Amino acid sequence: MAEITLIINGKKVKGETEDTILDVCEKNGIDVPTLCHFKGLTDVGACRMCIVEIGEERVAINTACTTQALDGMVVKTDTERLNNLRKINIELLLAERNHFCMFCEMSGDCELQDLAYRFKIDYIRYPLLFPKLPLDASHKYIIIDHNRCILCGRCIRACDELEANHTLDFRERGWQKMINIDLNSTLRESTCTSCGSCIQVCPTGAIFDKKSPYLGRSEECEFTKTVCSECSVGCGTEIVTRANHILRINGNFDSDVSRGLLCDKGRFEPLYKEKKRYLKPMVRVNGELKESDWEEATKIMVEKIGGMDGKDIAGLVSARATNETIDLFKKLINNVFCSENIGMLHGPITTIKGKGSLNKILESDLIIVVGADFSKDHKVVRSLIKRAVVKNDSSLILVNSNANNLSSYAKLLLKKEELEKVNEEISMANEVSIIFGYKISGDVEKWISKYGGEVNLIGLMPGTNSLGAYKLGINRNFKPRKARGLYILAVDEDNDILENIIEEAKKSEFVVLQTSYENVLSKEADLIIPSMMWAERSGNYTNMEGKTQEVNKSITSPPEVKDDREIMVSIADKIGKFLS
Amino acid sequence: MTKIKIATEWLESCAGCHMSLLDIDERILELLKYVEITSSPLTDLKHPPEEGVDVGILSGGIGNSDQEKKAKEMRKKCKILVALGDCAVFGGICNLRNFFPKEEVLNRGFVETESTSKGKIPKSEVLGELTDQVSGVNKVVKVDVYIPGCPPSADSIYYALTELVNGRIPVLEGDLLHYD
Repeated sequence: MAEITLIINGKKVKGETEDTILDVCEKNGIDVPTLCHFKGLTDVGACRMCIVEIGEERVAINTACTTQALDGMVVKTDTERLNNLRKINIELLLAERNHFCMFCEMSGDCELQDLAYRFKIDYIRYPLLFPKLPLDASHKYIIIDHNRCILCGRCIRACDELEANHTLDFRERGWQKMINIDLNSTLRESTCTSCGSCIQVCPTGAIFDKKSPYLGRSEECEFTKTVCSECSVGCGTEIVTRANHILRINGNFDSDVSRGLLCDKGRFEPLYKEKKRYLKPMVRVNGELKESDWEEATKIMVEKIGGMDGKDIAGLVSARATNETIDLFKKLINNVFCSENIGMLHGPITTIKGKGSLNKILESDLIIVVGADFSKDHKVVRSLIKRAVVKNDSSLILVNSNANNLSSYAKLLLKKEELEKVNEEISMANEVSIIFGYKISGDVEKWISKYGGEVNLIGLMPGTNSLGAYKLGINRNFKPRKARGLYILAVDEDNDILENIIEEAKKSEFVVLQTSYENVLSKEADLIIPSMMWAERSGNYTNMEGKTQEVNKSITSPPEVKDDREIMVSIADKIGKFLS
Repeated sequence: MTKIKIATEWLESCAGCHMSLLDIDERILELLKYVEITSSPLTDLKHPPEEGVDVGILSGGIGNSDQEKKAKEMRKKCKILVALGDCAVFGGICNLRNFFPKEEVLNRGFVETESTSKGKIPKSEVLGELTDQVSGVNKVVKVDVYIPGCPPSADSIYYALTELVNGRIPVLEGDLLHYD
């Protein structure tokens, strides 16, 4: 890449040989109006907003986003002629479909509206067409309203280039042109993976989610960058909140783990869970849980658990807890309660550790998935694999993987016993990625370890912060072995994980459950301590790649709910030991 | 100093734009030093005077023949015609009936309504006849100033009026220009 010089609006500016004119403008802070352009997606020049005048004597008008910048190019971005053309263009877009700002949920957050304001459009010179267009609200989370679509194709490109699913495309031509879902299906019945990227890239109100409309415009909201707590990928998220309520979860395009992509588990599911929140400590009195206060709760905790011998006490912690909380919990169990009996709710991670990076999957010409299931979580890894196969022609081999929709992308589908067949493929490939699940058997681990150093090795983790917990020294397939006192730090863990320890909890004499919500263990708990939920926590998570990322709280917890660490410190304090 | 004469009228409208005009609050006293409001739907005099006015303000779209007549009357009697609000500018929310044939709309409104029994579509010489489609006022008369908004904010209206008082054609931009 070499440096080039252009003259834009009479000023000498620098760019690089592979830049488009728009790239050069962006690098030099020259404002060019855009609409179909979206950072991270391929430019197609659909909206003609970024038109510029190129040349001096024979002036050509072309889109800045799809025209390559050349050394010595003379470009004008802001002439009367260009602005007139842009204005005509916006008016035509407004006249073509049914844009009613007065009741649109995106009014105030609409890029088409912003441009119309920018070009001071106070009326539309052209007759409005009033086409009768459908609205697809069949999907659980997403609404597509064709009335407001400007056919910029951002959603289509996001679906194809980010999620690599290509559910969306165009159909017909000219006036008839429309966003098409599969073979003219509804979104609910389509191949849509519910990643929600289309919502985030849509410049108008054509695609939006069902939860957040009318609850607040961007200017009234706060945005917090944090990390998803749903699995060990550790996707970057941006939580949109207003008045301490979560409206929406966006992907963070600046995250170097996920680069804006999320899955339905991270984007939608946390907002759709309806659970009863514990707002005060609860104490079991005569078999019934009764609301209590912090004073009584810590007192009971110290009396019951504090009075036991160390070997009778066990601690269990969720991998949804942050590094800081897990560390403190370990110290509490080890140093304050003098017990070595501590484990993870999610079970241990594999003995073989992946040291690779997710982004390298895209550079691999051979991808091998061993014993991994992407149907519940780690769906962003699945998207990366699909992108590598579809966009970069990588080969995919699935071994013993219920990999949810990946089999149609695979070159080979193998059973565990046929693993040796892969060896030859590996020897012929340049860049290899091996992705393995957390429930693989010993012989598979042995096979993988053969390639440990040479390939991009990625291991899925059973829980969000399992690797963080492992690094802090907690990694046990844990059975609380006749523990009389059981302290479970469950934070906002789901029932499917908590179910595994109901039997253990039943055997224990006294069960302390530190949790945000009512769950399957509540019945067994003798003392319930309210805990913060995901959006209220801050700290760090270590993802499956070993990257430690900052978790930031986006909302404030209810007044009676304390920070998990604060609770533990006050318990230690009551016992008379110092914890930090 | 002779005051500038202003007449207003509402057409297919919810009256929200006129409410927004009243929302300029005490500033209306300042304005009245330079402006005389001859007629409006909110005053006793409903029709613009025979000798005409300087500024005519129309809110609401054109949805029937009566409104068409009123718009044309206003155009004839004013020097500068202002389309106030989304409905006057492009039909606004009234446009929603443009997705159905006129007959279907009348039927739904007067016959099929859940609370109606033995309904009848009204037809009389004194009543306006529904146009095939709703439109902004510029479909029947020439408009000089557009103030979009649903309703336009009091600030937008006040700004536009002060510009007109000062002999300028207002250009709305920034916060003063909005469609919602």
